[in-house]
Amino acid sequence: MNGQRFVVKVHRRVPLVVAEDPLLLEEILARKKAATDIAGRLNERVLVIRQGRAEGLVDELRQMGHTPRVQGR
Amino acid sequence: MIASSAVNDWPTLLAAVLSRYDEILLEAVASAVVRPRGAISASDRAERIIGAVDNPVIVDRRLGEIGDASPPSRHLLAIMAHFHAVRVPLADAVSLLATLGHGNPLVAVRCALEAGLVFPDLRQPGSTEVGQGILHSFEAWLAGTPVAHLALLIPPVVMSRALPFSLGLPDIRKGELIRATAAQAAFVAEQQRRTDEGLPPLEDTPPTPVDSVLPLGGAIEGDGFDIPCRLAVLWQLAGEAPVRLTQAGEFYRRDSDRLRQLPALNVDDDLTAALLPDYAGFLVDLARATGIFACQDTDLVPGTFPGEWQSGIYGMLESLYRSLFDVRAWNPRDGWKPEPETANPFPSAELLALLLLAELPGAAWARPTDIENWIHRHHPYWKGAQRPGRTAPWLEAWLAGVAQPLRLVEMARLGLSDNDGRAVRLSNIGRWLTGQGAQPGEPPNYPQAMVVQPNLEILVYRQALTPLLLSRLTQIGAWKSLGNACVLLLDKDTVYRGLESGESLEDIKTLLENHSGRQLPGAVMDQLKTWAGRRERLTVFPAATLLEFSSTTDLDEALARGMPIQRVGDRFAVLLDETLGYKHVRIAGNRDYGLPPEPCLVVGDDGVTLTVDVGRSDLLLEIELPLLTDPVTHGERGVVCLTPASLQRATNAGWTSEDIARWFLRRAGHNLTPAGRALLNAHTATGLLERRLVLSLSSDDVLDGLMQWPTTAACLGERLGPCSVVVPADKIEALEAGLKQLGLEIPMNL
Repeated sequence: MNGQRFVVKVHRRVPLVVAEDPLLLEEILARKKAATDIAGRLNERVLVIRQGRAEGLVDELRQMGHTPRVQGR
Repeated sequence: MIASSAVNDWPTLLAAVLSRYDEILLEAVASAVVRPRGAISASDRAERIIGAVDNPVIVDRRLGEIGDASPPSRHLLAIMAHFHAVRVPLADAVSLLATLGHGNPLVAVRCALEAGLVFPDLRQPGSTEVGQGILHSFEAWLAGTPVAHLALLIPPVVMSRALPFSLGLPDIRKGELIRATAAQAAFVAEQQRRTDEGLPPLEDTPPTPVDSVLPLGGAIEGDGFDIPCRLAVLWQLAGEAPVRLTQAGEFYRRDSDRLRQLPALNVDDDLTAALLPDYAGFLVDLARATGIFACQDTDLVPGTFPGEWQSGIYGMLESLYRSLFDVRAWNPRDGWKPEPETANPFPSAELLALLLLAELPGAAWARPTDIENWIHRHHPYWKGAQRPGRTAPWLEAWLAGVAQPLRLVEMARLGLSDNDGRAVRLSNIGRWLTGQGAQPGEPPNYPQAMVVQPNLEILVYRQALTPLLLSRLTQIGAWKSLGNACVLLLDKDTVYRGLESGESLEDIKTLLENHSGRQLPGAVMDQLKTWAGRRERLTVFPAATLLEFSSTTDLDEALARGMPIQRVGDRFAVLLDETLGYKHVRIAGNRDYGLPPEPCLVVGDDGVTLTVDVGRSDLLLEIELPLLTDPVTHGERGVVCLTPASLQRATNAGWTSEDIARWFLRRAGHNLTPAGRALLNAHTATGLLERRLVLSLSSDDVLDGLMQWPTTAACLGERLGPCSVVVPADKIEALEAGLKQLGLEIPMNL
């Protein structure tokens, strides 16, 4: 692979939540209001947010007492 | 809310405005401002105008020419330059021209428009977009309504070159002239001509001087941070919950109470507080004008501190001076009074008051009432006003509550207390901002501005405050009290807000240590680390660019090469830098999640085998497939199958039959196949498995006949197909007899 380019598929404008600890995602999914903003779980540390619901989810996370880092706003 | 006076991209705005000019009008303006030797091609006209008004040499020539050809237009340009803003409401410009005694201000405006030195603001009210339609003549635009929505745009170079210029305003201490300002200038010129030519002078009535003003004690000047600190408190208040306005522009009751009950948003000085109504309303409108508040429909939410604040106190005061005349929903006589359809005369009168003060010699004082009386006698809004409410005093309160804290003026007492009256004069900063003097020297720099206490309180000394420090502290702490020593409190939410604004833990630590001159107390540092650490636990990307690698090995290799990515799975990584990130990759597929999803499953003939079109699939499919399908044993990657077990799994996870049918339609582009429907709905059907006698014929036509002929029809049951029919067991003999009559003998296989 040295010097070669990696073949990738690019997913643009994907709203995501990335957690350090999978338990945090369990907590989010268990919260009814937050769970409605989630489109699905990509893996144990990543959730995909429904389109247009990222701001609402951030507000809800703050209500839950989290202080999420919002990157690339 | 009207458009802000600040314009970030002047050439783009001017190009957009000129694009709405009629061709003939554009040609006329281009000829006036560019003065080409030959004709300018139609496509170049706008560009040449933009270039000309950005060229100081051309602008100086045109200012000289318009000064000779139309002195009122030259006055207009000087007046607009005094606003320090690219956008000036037409009503303000016209009011001030009328105040100077010009009989027909609109003609002066039209001349300036035709000369290409000012332009009509053709943006939609409250929008940054220039509207549709073609501008055929300036007369038509000047006749537009409502007047409050009409504004003029002055190019920045014209604004900077239009001053210094004497507007001919009087020294109000010398008393009232019998002529208006413009007429007085003509009178003086005529007197000079007569003197030069040896003719007898014209008769003149000398003015009666006003009483001399001798203040007691020294001048009181603000430090310039009183209003910015209050704006900072207001910014934090809006961060807790937006300040909401009704459709009519009034505050909702809850917000009105919030604003008016907060001590930091009210005037400290009792006398000024009594005279200046609704100080919180003034601060709200000033915050909107400076961009510290951003408008979201009718909500006011925290915006950004102006960029000029980074350049120091003079940059901050200049930006506030500019914004001061953009305060339209509040006035110093009535308080908060939003009337978007009506022009507010107070900003022009406030500027006029400062310009009248600028006519006084350096150390001379004036009474605010003398200035106000002059304004009331000359400004068209007050001139000849009959209603006593209209001429109610307002200027002294505005000078004491707004201009003095902003260091525009100095004030002094005329007696032992404020009740004995106050005198006013321009400060050095006021002289600089009104074009009467140079920018004052840099203020002293005090390195130690604060004390950080172990209980997370920060004591900030006002004399050491800088605009940049104020805006940064506002981001990371909550103002608890304002005074000579202000108190700021750090807490979880405010530190989080600071981190969200782009500060890092290290930045906050450096800021506090550098300005306090010592290391942070251990308890404060520990708390900051804890709060910052909590923020690292969850990251939300509202619109990430996600790279999907072919394998885990590829992703490992990419990270080893130093690609600007953050790993978020075995094969997935978030791209952190769009400009550098694509150097090492070849893009095999591209999916934009802002667009509606595309069908990306190809359905096999069996109706249950699904092949993923990798080029069109998306991440959500990666999530959905493991739930709704099972992998095909020994099949290639990307081939899956609907099975009873997989659909049962989806049902258990809360998917209804309708959800699954909708998902299939969205992903495959057509309705669920019969096989799929059977997997999903078979359990709802009923049935019976039984043995039956079936008559099968080679011709459907003959069977149609048997079904119709009464002899055989009575012996036949349910038709199963074109050539097959059920025969009840007890009718076999009768059927056989009937068939014999027709000459049809059928072998039986019972």
